[in-house]
Amino acid sequence: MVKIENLYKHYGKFVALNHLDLSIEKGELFGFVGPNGAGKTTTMRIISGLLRADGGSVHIAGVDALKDNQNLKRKIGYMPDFFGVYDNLKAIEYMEFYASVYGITGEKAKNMCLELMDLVNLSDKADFYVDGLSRGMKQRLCLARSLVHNPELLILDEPASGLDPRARFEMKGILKNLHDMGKTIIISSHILSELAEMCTTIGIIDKGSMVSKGTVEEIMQKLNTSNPLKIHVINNIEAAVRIIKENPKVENLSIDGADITISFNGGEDEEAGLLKMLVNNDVQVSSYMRETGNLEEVFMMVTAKKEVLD
Amino acid sequence: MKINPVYGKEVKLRVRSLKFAMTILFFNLGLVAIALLGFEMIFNININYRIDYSGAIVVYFVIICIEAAMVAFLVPVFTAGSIAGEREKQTLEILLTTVLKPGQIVIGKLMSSISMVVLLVFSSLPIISIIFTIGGINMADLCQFVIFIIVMSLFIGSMGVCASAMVKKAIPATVISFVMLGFVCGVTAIAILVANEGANIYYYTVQNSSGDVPDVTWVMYFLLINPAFTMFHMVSEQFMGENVLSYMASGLNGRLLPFVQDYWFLCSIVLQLVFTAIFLKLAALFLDPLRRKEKARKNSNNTKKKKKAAMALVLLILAIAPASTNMASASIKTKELDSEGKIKIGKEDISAVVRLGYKGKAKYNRSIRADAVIDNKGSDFTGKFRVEYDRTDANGYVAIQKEFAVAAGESKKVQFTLPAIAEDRNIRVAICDQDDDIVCYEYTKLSYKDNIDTLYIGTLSDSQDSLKYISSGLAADKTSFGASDEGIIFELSGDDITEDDKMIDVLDVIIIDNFDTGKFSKGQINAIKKWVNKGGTLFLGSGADAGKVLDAFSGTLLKGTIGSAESINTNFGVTRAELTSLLGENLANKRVPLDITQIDIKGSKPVLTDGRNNLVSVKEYGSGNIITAEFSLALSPGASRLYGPVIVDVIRNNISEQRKESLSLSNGNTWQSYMDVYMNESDLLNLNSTDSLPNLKLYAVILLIYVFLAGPLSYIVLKKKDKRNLLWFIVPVLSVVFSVTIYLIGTSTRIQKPFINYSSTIELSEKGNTRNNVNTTFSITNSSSKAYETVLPENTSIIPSTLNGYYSSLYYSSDDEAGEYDYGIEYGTNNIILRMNNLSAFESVPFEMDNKSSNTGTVEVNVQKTDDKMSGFITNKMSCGLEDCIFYCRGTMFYIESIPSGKSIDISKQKSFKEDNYSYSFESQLSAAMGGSYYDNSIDVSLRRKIGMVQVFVSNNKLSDTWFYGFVPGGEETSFTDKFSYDKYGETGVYKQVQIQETLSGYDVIGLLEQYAYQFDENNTNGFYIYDSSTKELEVTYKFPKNFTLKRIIYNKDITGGAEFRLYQNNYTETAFLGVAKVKDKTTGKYVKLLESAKKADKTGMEKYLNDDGSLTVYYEIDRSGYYEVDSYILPRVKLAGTYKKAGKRR
Repeated sequence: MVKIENLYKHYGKFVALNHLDLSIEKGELFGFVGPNGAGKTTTMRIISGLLRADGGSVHIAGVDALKDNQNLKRKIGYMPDFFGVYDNLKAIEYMEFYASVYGITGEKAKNMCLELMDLVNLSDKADFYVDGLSRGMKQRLCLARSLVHNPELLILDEPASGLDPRARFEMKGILKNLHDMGKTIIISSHILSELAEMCTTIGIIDKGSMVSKGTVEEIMQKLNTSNPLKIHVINNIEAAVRIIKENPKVENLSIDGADITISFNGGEDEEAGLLKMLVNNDVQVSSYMRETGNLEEVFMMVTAKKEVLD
Repeated sequence: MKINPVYGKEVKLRVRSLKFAMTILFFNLGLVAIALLGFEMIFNININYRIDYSGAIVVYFVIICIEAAMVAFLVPVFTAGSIAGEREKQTLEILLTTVLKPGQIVIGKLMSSISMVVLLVFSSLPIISIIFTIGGINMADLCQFVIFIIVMSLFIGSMGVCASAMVKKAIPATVISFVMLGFVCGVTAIAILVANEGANIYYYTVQNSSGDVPDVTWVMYFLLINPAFTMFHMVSEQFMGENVLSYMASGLNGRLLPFVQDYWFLCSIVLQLVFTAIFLKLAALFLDPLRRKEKARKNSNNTKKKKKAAMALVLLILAIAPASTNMASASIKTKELDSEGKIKIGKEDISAVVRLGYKGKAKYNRSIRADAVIDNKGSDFTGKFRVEYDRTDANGYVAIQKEFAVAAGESKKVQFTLPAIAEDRNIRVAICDQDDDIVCYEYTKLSYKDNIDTLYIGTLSDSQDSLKYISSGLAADKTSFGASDEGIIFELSGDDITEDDKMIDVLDVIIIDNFDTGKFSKGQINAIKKWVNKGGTLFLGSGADAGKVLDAFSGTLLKGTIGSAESINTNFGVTRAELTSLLGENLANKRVPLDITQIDIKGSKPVLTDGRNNLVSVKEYGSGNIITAEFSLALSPGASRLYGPVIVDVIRNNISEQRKESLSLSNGNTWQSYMDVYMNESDLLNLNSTDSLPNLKLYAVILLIYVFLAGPLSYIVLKKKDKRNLLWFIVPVLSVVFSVTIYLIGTSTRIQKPFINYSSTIELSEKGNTRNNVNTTFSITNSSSKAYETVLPENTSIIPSTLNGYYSSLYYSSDDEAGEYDYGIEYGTNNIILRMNNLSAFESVPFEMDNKSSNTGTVEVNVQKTDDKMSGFITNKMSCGLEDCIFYCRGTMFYIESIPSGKSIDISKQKSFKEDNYSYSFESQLSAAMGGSYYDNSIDVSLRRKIGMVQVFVSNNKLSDTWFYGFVPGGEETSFTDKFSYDKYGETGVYKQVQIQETLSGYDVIGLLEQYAYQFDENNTNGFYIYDSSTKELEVTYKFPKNFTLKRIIYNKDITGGAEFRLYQNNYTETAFLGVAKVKDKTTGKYVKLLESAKKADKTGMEKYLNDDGSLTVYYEIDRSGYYEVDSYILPRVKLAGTYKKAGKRR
């Protein structure tokens, strides 16, 4: 569905996309993860035809996205990270306007728009002015808007940013629905856990290139091993430190009172082994767990790695 | 049709709020107020004294200017915010990811941004349509305006959209679009000025004032993209009929391409649309994300700018290069007339000698003869002799031309009359072909070097040389008559006396002596007759062969008997003393032999007698004089040396009074009440009819209904039905419906064809047994600026009139060869065509026409004044009745409502108005008598015209203290009106100056002292008013008629008036004589008090105070004690009584 090869983009001296390669299969719900400035939005804007690429190629559903702009736009629905809405328009009129852009007018447009609004749980807000909708509703309205021409590919730039938990939850549900309907979706976020719950594939981008890509499980796996292990002991701290230090898989260690945080380079078996050793040595462990995925940390780590590599 | 979605959304949005309806409401309410107030002002009696229809066009002009200004200011604001606004609102990206192409977005934005403005303009059409109630602007003009506004909106809008797409924020975009607008409107205009100045500087510096000024007309082409100029051009074409382009081009020393000149509007519109397309394309490029380079954009833009600047430079050089090599001159080079007043023109086989005036001389306010002798050395030629001259009332010029056909190898004389042309006007004489294309021409000017009081004397004699003493006498003896008294002799030939009397108008005196007048045609005799009637002085010499000169005039001008010829010795009635003082002792009292023929002309009185023979007699004829001499003026050298000055004196002293006044030869003899009366025909012609003026209340109601309907009412109705989008449709529909309604209702008052304002006057003759001559001044006014013409029968005597031309300032001289004259006359072989080519709507142009009236007869005034009582009868012996008649006699005015044909009225039974009741203001007196003032808008226009006509008469005849003026009732029009099928508004007045006998206790009364003031300090008084507010002593010498002896003076409020000492409250008076008047007693040499202010005086035995020549010197001592508050100090009004010396009896 999406095939990006060797995509290059620079703003002056700043290289935004550094020979990026990415391919997404039809029906995937692709999570696009990366810190600000990594090139997520740039990539999405290029795919959406909003930005000129300086090199490489992009094919969307067989359309050369860099050349056939007009056909590309029929294939994609795009929702930017920041967007505005027209004041003084009612939600349904807002929808109808975009329908009219695609040449759909009259009753047909109205029915279709209502359906789409139903899809995003806004059917009861049709006659509300856009201005009066909450941010979450606006977000959903915009999502519905991006669906008016029934695109094969949905590109959603940070759809959940700035939403309260309930709104995020709702958004997730809708996206899942859309995925179930067979749409290919690209969604960007910096909260991996969010994406992890619904994405079929996740790609991590940094400094303009893909760092990692794979299924959620694969990524999570990769992630967890590199995450710190947090141990809370009630007594016998000295023994615990000693035992931990002796373990060859431990790379780093920090102690904060009774909290010990270590970098543990081993798999689940070795984790269990270490716990067993601690318990056997009369260390009372009240908490023993891997820190779960935090993207910022992941990227801090990825960045650090790169720096090492460089 | 698929509606642009962006446009569709925006118009839907805009129409949603009540603001939309309110904008329409208030915008149009404002315009309604302007339109109605404007019309109210035009037709309001309190503001203008006359209805000026062109004011309606001013209202139209103001409204369309407001609208154009609105477009110019709102469109950039709306459009500049359109795309940048979306960017700011972050809605643009979404739009760009849709299938909408940038071009579609740009067009949608442009359309929606200008739609409101264009709708506002459209909604105001019914208000603009109020112009159709008067006319001057037609539907096509209005459509042109609508097209202009739409194109201008698109053009300005496209610049705004382009700016909006270029930058990210709305405010800088707005600034940029205003800068662009400023560039197209301002810089292009400034370029014109710079080019004009630059060309001149270049000419004076680089070219060192040699050659021609560089042609910089090319800068005008930049104006094609200047909507402001195109609007100005459109308006000036619609409204003024002026071709601003050719004026401007000639100012830039060249001319435009003919196509551009003729189709400027079209060219401009097309060019603006082309630029609109370019700007839109640019905007789309700026908008297209795939073509837009991020950040690096600035750099590439700079290179673009450099490229553009380079292109502009190239274009500039390309434009300058041909301009500098192709310098066409357009400045006028005038060629002076030669000493005979001739100028030669010619091209190839056709040449002509053109003469203007007599020896190239012309006088203020006198018609000018123009003739051309065309010589044809080629094949038969048919063409026109044309004279063009600058207008005095506006820019542009008038043309008079006459058709001629001249066979191969022959020559032909063509002549016609030019009206008075003021000094320094360019006159172009030309020969045109049949299609009015000029074959050859020359510019010249007429000489006005002579003083206004210079006598122009034409002499017609077989022995011109023997009359030379007259001109040398006039030149030598300047002191006896007036300071600058001078005369010029024109030696005429028979055909200089033209059949059109207007051509000899410039001559004051015609002397015919020793010339066979039998050679004259009937037309020539008639012309002389008319010329005399209008004030000319004809001097006929006779001598031994009296019949040679006189026969042709007997029965027409003269009635009487010619006696036998004899030889006498005479001293021409000059006393020895006079001759001694004039010629010296040794020549004095010499008698010379003279051949005379006794002539007895009816109604003449002798003015030169030697005691035995009445050598010279004068007869008044109309306004002119006929002087007959019993001898031939071709005196022997000896006689002319001796008595030449006497003859010259006779000529001078007997010039008609009318002419003396028009030549400013008479001093201070004006009837003082007339002082402030200044009115000329042009004022009268400006007075438009108020017969059918639009009913403003009706239109106010219609417009208010419309405005509320189109504004809030339809909004509210449609809102209820939730179909507010229909407003975009309903407002224009309502607009058209109401416009058409107003157009249709307006038809009843709309002026759709030219109309004529006229004032016809008939100077009644003494006997009046033939049809009266009517002189008509009229103006033709058209309701549009379109060219038109009217055809008159060939025998019509008509010329363009230059009313008031003497006083008008010099307008810019037109020097466009190819341009059309504003208006003119063509004397064809079978007809006369009045052509109006280049006039503003409602601009009127004046003509003058002479013709015969359908009525005959005269008015006989048989009135005497005895001991201050008027008695007698006025009899209407005309074939028509008369109404609104005024009889005026030395300060007393009688109003006579009507005198039926053949009836008499008793003057003592008529309502009279004494001047002292009106403080010597003739105008107030006339207002009281006729029931209103000329300036009073509330009274009937026809009555105002009549009042004005009397005032015109008085303005032109300030010497006349007694006259009759009446009007031919409206139904009986003069024959002038038959010649035009246009609507005509005017009056026909008849007048007659009258001499009446006034006696007081057996003495003859000759009027008031002020009428005879002769010598005084002109800086301080005019013989009546004292100008200087500090003068205490004043000396005035009064000169009375030659054969009158002053015997008694009467100063009596009841008899002479008394307004000069009429006190109001607080010791205030308007006019007063305060002080004493003294005279010198000849016998004792002492000064004697003659009279004192406010005290009756009646003094007899005045003879002893008279000077040797019969004149009286009065010494005034003005009381300036300041006890009274006086507006103006005047001299006392004193009645003069005495006796007339009886004329010397013949033999």
